[in-house]
Amino acid sequence: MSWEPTLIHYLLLSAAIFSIGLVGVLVRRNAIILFMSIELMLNSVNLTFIAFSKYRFDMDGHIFAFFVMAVAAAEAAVALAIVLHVFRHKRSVNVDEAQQLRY
Amino acid sequence: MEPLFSNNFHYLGLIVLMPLLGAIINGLLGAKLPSKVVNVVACAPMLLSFVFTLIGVRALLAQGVESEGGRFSMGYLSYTVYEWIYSGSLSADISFMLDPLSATLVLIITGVGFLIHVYSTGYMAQDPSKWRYFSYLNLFVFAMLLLVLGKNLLVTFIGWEGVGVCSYLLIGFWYTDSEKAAAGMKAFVVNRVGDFAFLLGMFILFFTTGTIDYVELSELATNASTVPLLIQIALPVGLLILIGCTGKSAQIPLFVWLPDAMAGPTPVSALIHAATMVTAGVFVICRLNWLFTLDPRLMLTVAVIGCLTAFFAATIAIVQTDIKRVLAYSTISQLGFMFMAVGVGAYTAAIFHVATHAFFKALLFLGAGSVIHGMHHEQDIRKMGGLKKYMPITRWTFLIGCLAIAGVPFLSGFYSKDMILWSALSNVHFLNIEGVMAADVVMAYFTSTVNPFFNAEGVEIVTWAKIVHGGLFGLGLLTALLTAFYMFRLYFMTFEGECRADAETKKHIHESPDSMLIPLIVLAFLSVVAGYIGWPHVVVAFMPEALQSPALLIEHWLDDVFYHSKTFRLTGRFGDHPYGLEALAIAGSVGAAAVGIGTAWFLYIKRPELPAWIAERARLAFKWLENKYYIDELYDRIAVQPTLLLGQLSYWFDRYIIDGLLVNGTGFVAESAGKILRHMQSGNVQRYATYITLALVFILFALIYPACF
Amino acid sequence: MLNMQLSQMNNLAMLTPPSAIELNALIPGAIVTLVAILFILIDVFHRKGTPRDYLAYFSVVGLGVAAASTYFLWDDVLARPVFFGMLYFDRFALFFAALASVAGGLAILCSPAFLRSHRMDRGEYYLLVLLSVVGMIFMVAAADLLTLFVAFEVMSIPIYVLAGFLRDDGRSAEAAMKYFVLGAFSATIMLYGIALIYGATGTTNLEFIGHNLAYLQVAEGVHAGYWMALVGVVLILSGFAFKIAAVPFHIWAPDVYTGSPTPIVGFMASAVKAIAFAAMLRVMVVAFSFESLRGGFFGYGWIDVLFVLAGASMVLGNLVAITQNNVKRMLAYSSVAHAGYILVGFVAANSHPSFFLHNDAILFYLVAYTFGVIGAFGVLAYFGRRGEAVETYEDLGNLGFKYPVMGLVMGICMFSAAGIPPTAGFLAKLYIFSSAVDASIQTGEFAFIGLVILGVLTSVAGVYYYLKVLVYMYMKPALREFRPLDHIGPKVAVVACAVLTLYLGIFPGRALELSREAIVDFVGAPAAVQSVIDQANPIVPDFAVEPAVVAAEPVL
Repeated sequence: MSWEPTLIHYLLLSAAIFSIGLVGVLVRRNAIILFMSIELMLNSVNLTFIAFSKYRFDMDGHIFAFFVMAVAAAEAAVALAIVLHVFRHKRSVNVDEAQQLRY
Repeated sequence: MEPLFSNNFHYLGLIVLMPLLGAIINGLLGAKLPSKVVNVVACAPMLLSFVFTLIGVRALLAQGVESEGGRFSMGYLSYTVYEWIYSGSLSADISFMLDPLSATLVLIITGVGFLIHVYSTGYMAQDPSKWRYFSYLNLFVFAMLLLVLGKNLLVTFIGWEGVGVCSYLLIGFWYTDSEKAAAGMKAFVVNRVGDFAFLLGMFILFFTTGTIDYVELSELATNASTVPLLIQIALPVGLLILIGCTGKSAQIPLFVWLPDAMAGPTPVSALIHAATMVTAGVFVICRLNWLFTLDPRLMLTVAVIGCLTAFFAATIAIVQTDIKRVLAYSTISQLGFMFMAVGVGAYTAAIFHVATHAFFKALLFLGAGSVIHGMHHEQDIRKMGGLKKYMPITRWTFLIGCLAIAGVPFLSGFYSKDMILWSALSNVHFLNIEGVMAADVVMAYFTSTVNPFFNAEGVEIVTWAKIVHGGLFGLGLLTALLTAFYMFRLYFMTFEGECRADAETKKHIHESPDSMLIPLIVLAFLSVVAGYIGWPHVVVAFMPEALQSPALLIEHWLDDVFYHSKTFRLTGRFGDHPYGLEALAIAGSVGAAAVGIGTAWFLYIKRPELPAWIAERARLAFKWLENKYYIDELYDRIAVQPTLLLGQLSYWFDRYIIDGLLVNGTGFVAESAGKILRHMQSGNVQRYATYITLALVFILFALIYPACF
Repeated sequence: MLNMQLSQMNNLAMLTPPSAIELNALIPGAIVTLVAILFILIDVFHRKGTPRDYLAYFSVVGLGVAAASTYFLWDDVLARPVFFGMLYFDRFALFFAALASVAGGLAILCSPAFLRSHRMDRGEYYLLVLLSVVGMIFMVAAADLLTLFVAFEVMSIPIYVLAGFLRDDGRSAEAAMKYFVLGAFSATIMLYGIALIYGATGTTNLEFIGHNLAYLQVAEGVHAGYWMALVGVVLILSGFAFKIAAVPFHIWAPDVYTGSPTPIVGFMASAVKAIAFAAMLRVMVVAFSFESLRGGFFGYGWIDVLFVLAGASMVLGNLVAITQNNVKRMLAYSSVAHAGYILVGFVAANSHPSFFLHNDAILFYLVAYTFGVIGAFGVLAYFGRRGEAVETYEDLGNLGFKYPVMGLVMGICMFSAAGIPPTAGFLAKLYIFSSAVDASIQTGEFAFIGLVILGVLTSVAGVYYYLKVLVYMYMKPALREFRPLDHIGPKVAVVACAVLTLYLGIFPGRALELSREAIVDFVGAPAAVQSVIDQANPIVPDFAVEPAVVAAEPVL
């Protein structure tokens, strides 16, 4: 008897990925990896959407996932530009180097 | 009957706007403008406002109709400048209302105000900061118009505060003089006491009824189903507002500021401390007449306060030697008459007296100003005398003013004072409301608009109330006698007899310029004729038919405003017009005027050595009077000294407990908290993300397991 | 059954194109988009080395046309969603479309000279503002979480870029980085919330969500899907709270406001906040007014969350603003405090359907706040020349007398922010607080009174630091010489802001009427709210069509 993943498994998986991404945002200092973590979170959300969509036989989730991908692409482009911008000033892509604005 | 009004009468806005514009222009640019332009900018708005008011009166007359029983109904005109509407309970419109009552006052304010502005251009010609003076004066008129035209208590209160501030500024106008600045301060502080009470009364009214709009309130007060609500609060609210009014209108116990307020320029005394601002108290009570008549105890308090003030101020005036102080005490005394009129339910008489008093008292003050101007700022009447040959026009106009205030027939003062006196005698309060209620004279009678002259069977007027009213009449008559006496004492000492000024001054005594004399002449004319709109009924009865209506113009004009109170809801004059009492009052007041003037003539012209002799004999009494019954000292002892002590105590408390412990403590805590919170902002973006995550986790935890919190 | 109906609807959608009248809904957004496209075209032909002022004016005119179009569309609104439940076309959306356009226009007016002095006179700047406005216009009109999310990102991403627009400025780069990291992070969290809501209700349409949520709580107890929906609501709420900068989601604001180009900060602080509030109002009222989710008075729903955020924002914003020395940073904290005040009104007006009409106080506050804050940042931008920008209080010394117009504008804006009459800020605060008091009196719940007292106390504390600006401008000596960016743009913009602030304070009638109309014409509200609206506005347009009610069985 082969094992069939059900909705709950997809949800758990996506929650796990989301958490991994979240922790990545909180602990990774390299800005590139930090943005990758955000992408990871976005993709875990996509997974949630697809899982629900499939479960409900409803296309809305799929459509949503496509839009999320488009937005994620736009965000990635902006992210890289901003990282470059920071790099030019700090000679580093570590986010904790940028602490000029505080208090 | 359908109330007549138009809510879009823009001229009301213009009436108020004009003085404000004048004040702004002079206040901002006055220092740079040439003197003539300053004069025009100051005077023109007054004239324009006056003209706009006339337009308003015309519109009122046009919409007025004559209803049953020969009653004229004008309704009112209103204009909402802007509405602070909000869906909830909050609604505070800045709106104005012109009805016969406010129209009368506005005509006085702008008309007399215009004359006084013209006069000021001469009086203040040499003052380097004339623009500042005119700016304040225009601002005062603006505030006064707000007070009078306000459609709700809030607008009135804004004006009420505004006139207080302007009065303070103008009293202390020559603030280089520390005594004058102190006088300004005194006026300010005393008025604060009254204002606080006024505000408190307003709040109680608002929280009980939910509205401060005069029209809505009067509807509440005249509707049999809603009036019990107001009857409950009539006494406290009325007393609080009365305290506010005694402050503004210089009545017992808050009259002490007015004589000191004479420190300001004389035209200011004429405008603010004689013709307009001090009558604000009378106006407010008249405006709220339907509230005051609800409780006879309240009315009696007003009447007694007014009567006592009138009498005591008159006695003090007898011995004053400063020309402006005599007039100041006479103002207090006349205001007392107005309060008495209000207190006995003779609102029309009160407003009538406000009008005539505005004319003759402004005339007297301006005449005094002319004298002071001519004598180079000498105010002591002992150093005057015989001025009639130096300043003839001032003398004649001043004489007319004196005759008017003394109550000589055919001059305005006689008519209004007479109306007050016979009203005092005839309008007797019920005083036992419970008894009235028990006697099955139902509420509807007191609140209805049906013919009020119901048969008074079953309503018993307690005897002592009749005695009190007799007392009011008697004291009023005595005050009238004293008034005639001290006014002619003033006149004789100033204008008749030998000149007692030193030679140097004598050389320079001169008649005032035209800009000062023309207002005097106009006011003198008005002081004579203003009374012809309110003849006693007993005289009117003998007049030809055509003249009867104009001869009672003031009564017809204000009929509508005081209609509900004139039903004498809780003051009783029933049946026919009391012609007998009226005749008695006429005889009494003519007699009093004759005796007063005669005594003054005898003492100061015929036997000038007598006053000193009397003063010698009755030194104690003189001393009491000269020191104004030691009221200031009394206040100093019982109020000021303990207050100072308390002040020192509270200063200490404030310094070490409040300031040291609480304020600085709170400040310290707040600042440290701010600093700590500020350092949360570490600059590290990942820490920020952590905060957001933690906050989210916290919120989710709280929502999912609410029991934990 | 649900799926059947929905797929039928989808088929229907494919077969019937939107009616012509629905296209009106696109007009304001389309105008701004068109302006943006034209802008790119014109910018291509721009001669190098010449100033781009004309492009700025072009964008301002375009935004002005968009704002004006809302006036002409005001009476053409529809009482039903358009484009198959994707957008609303109501006065509420038009109101905020106009506000966003005006705010964008004013911000652009402040910019040209500022950008030139920073050697960043690029066309992209204006383009990004225009695109952000497009996002805003569609965000308030969104009737579906999908349109909402896309518009949300269209609004946000240009702002991230604009925050880092000053290429030579390290602080600008840092601000952009922080804003982007936190913004994308919170947007992702919000998206996860949307996914959970989708999972719990099976739809992304706001009205359907509202209907379907009711089935999550069945008679025998709370369904498992309820908890998923609850988490989803909180996550979505956090995304909005981030944009409106409410404590503790405000944490990005001070740093970003300090580092970003000054004219853009005015835009960020006003338009973004206003639009986020509007969208939050729409989403929360339309989709999540299910009673046990809403809570209120510590029934632990999203109202209670916002209640706490309101209190925390007022306290923290004001306390920290007192300790600041940098004026922009002070204004950032003050904007946090203002978010708190608006939240007070928000919480009061939405705690019960019957108070819904009190939301007009929020609208008025947002308008008043927008002009005040753009005016203040406009003045700072005017003194924002590269290398000699006014930063601290000391820098403001004596500027009031030297530049009387700017001093006056700053005075009016500070008075408005502090809530001193006769400025708009005073009335706005008054309306907010009185709506809270009204809610409190009507429900007999004194929690709101407590919030109002807190608000009054903290705004008294706020007077201290607002007036400090004026004290420095008028009473302290100048320490340094500043050469202002002498350009007509910022002058016109700030004077317009000051005049409007005064006008709204003295004659609020028309603006209040508009906000009332906007609130009364709020489409998509659930039945309880709708009945309150109908009472205020008994005339129901005859083309009103009841939204189809889709009943869903409990799933999962």
